[in-house]
Amino acid sequence: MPDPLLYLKSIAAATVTSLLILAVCFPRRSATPTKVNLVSVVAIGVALAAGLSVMSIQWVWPPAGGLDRLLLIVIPVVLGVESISSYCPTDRWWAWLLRIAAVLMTPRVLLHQSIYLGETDQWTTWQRFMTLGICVIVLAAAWFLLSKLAGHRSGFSIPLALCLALLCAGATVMMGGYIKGGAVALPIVGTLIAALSVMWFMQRRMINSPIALPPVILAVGLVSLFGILFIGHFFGRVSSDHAAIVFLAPLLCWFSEMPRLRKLSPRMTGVVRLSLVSIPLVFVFVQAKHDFDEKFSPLVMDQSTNDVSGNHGFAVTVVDHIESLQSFVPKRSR
Amino acid sequence: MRHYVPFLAIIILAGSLVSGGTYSACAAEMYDYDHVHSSVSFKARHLDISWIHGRFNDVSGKFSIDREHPSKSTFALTIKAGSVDTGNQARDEHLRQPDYFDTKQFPTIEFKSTSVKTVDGGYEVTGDFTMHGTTNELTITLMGGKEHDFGKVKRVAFSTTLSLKRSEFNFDKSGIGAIGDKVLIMIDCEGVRE
Repeated sequence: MPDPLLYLKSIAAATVTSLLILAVCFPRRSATPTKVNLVSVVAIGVALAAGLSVMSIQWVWPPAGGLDRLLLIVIPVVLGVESISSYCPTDRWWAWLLRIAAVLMTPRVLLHQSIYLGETDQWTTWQRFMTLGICVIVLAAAWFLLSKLAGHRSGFSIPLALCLALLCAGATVMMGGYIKGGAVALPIVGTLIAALSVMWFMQRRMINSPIALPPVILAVGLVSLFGILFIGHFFGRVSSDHAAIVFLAPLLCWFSEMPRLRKLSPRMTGVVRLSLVSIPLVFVFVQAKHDFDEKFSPLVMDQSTNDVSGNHGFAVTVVDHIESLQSFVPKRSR
Repeated sequence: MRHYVPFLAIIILAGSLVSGGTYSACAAEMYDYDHVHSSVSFKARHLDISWIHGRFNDVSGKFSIDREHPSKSTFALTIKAGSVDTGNQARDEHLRQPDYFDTKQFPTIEFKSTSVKTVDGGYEVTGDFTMHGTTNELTITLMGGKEHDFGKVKRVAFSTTLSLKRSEFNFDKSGIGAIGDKVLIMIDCEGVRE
């Protein structure tokens, strides 16, 4: 059952932890990219653990479900890859080789022992190969393109766009009926926003030696977005169209590199990027809300009829769910 | 020696007949789960004031019954978790999601007996119950066991009610609260053999 208070506590725990670690450990005297990225890895890792613990995520090994594998295997591997690649900022090929290895394992790990890869007739070998292959290519391409764009200018708007997409992905997965799967997006967003805030603040203070955006922020944001949409689609009820639109929406930031828009100030570039990304996200959000209303309205109807028959058990719970979720969702215009 | 040969042959023949007959009497009888005359249903508390009822529509199983040596009997049941049916399609889809049964990850609920002993009016069966990816040992009392012969078809029937806690099977804690932790499962099954 959605618990808004628990979600707020989880976001607060993740945000405060991330802020505290970065504020205390930030290398003020010699803020080299390696040191900044390493401190960010630690801050993001600990903050995520704090936020997810508040959300009562079960830390059981081996992880049994797709969400557990995302949180216990995939994200820690990404943190590990980014901490190792911090040591080779000049030799970027090594970093990208490690990232590609992480990308290759991600879809396979998330579907481990599910009906898609087990001895069932859900997928043929060819379908498995195609699906996993497409997912790997899309994730790798998005990672490369966003990293390249973040290196140009107004890099901070890219993780912000990812945070917007993460919020939309979380809401879409929740409205598809997989409440916990969507809720984990909230502490992740809290963690990333806190890390970005500290970076932005430090960048303002250290004008003489500007701080580059730590790659780990982008990596965790992108892989988390991919993972939440992936498990929302394959284990929940998120359609492939919605999943694809939300995942690819941050790539619209590249439109800011068009000749006419390239002349804009960094702040305006960020505004343009976030505005462009918001358009498909709002579209998906409204669609998901519509599907949610369509799907669950029979349960609302059942409540009144079941009250007469006296069998009003489960429907009340579902109505509670709807009311809790609707507190997050703006009313649909009629 | 010639006088003994027919005598020995008769003894061997008689012995083989007796042993064969004994074997057929002791051999376990295999039964298949009869979908038409069986059901696996459940109920769980809601808000601690009422009960939610549901059933599983896709169940299969086999059991062998050895009347002479009950400890050699075996019982196995496989339930497709995705076939959950509470009389409301939207609710059923919600129950299939990872917040509840997670049917894409854990498609089946299984019971396999590990030991069987007779009790008054049935069998006490201990076995491994696997649900939501977690296996726990359970002991159930199968009441019944009466046989019915009709033409070439032989039937035997059992019924049992078992109680378990969802929290012991690694279900999401946030899904436990309004819907009670304890679930009662009612199994009424007929086995059929030709």
